[in-house]
Amino acid sequence: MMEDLFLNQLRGFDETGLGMLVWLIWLGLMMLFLFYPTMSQRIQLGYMLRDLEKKLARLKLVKDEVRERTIETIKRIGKPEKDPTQDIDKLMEFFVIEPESMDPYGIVYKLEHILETGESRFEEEIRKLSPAAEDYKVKTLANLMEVARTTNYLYRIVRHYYLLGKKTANIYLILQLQMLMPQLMEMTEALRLASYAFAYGQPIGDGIGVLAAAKLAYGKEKARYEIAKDTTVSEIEFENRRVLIVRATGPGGTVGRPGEGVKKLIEREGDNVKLIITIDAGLRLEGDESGKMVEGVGVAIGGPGIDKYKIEEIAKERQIPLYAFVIYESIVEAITPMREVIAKAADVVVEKIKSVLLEKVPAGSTAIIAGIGNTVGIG
Amino acid sequence: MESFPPSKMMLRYVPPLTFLKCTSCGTENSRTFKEEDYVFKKTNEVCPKCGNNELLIVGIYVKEREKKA
Ligand SMILES: [Zn+2]
Repeated sequence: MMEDLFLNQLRGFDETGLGMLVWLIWLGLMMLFLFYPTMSQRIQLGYMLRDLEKKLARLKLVKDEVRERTIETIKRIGKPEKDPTQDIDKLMEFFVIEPESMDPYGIVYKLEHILETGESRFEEEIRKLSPAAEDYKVKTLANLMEVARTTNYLYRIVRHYYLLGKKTANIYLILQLQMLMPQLMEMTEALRLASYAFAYGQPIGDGIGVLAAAKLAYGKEKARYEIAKDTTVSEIEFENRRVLIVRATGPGGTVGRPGEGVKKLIEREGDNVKLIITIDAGLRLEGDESGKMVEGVGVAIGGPGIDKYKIEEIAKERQIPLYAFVIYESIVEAITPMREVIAKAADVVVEKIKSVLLEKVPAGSTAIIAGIGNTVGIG
Repeated sequence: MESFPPSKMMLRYVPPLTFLKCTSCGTENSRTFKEEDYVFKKTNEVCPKCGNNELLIVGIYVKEREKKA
């Protein structure tokens, strides 16, 4: 019964010429794709642009949220006399121009000079906006401002390529942007969480190197002094060995100048120094376990490379071995409030360092240990 | 080429906990993080066990979420 109905319908279809119509539509579509081969690409481009548009909207949302948090925090902690919004917007566009590398001789010191100028300029501006904030808090606020600036920059870059791709209908440009988007979005979300950490002064994952160094020094300090800007040395004695622990001065948000600190110490101590150990958070690969400590040789310092260069240079000159301990973290974990698995790694590092000191540093000589990272929330 | 929708990528902010250790009896306890807290700061909170009013902050971190069995 049902089948009959179906057949009748088909026949009816044919009789009314509807079948012909459907067939003609098919033919038309095929001709369209035949003579207009970029058609499918255009459809694809449309989809991709819509996808990007959504993500760009999310980026803008995060950028505005971080900006709001920065303004609110500076008002709350810094208690400026006038509304800081305008100055903050100005700082969000602040830029640093890298030195010319056509003639690379001495580029490290040029870079250092430029970055230091940028850093102090940033800090000065924040200090002006935050008359009520203590010195260490000004540094954390400057970090927060830096997060806001980075979020803004990320947003502007993505917007630029999105608009450019849209304007030129360039699918390859859009394709490249879309391939990068998952990482960029992850970074954006991480920056959003970083803004909380700096707004409240909470330790972040990157601080694990400093935390391990601080734990090693705590309670055993014989002397403590500043060796370079924002950089502290704690002297301890361990099993008849002199241990100089270099780290950024807490609890404000700063990475200090560990390169300069280590260099000055070696110049002062001369040939007594038998070992340099750097401890830092290192980017883990997907599939690696967070908070796992691995060891190797070299200088474990991320960032623009100035501190790394300085330590390598003087270590080579004096033939001091370089040991490195790295604690695995993802890029997100590095800038967001510290996770338990990472914090727990500090104790593992301390024990490991003690055994290395006993094994590699002869009694009566000196070792330098540099805890690298942002010291926000670690006193 | 469809990448993650933004909602799946969103990370939630989990405030860290502050872990305090009594300088007299060594008891450790934790509370939510408060501004001005930092690792190795001595606070004048009172120890719940012995009543000593000096606690040392020994850690500030985000506790791992317990995995659902
Ligand atoms: Zn107690």
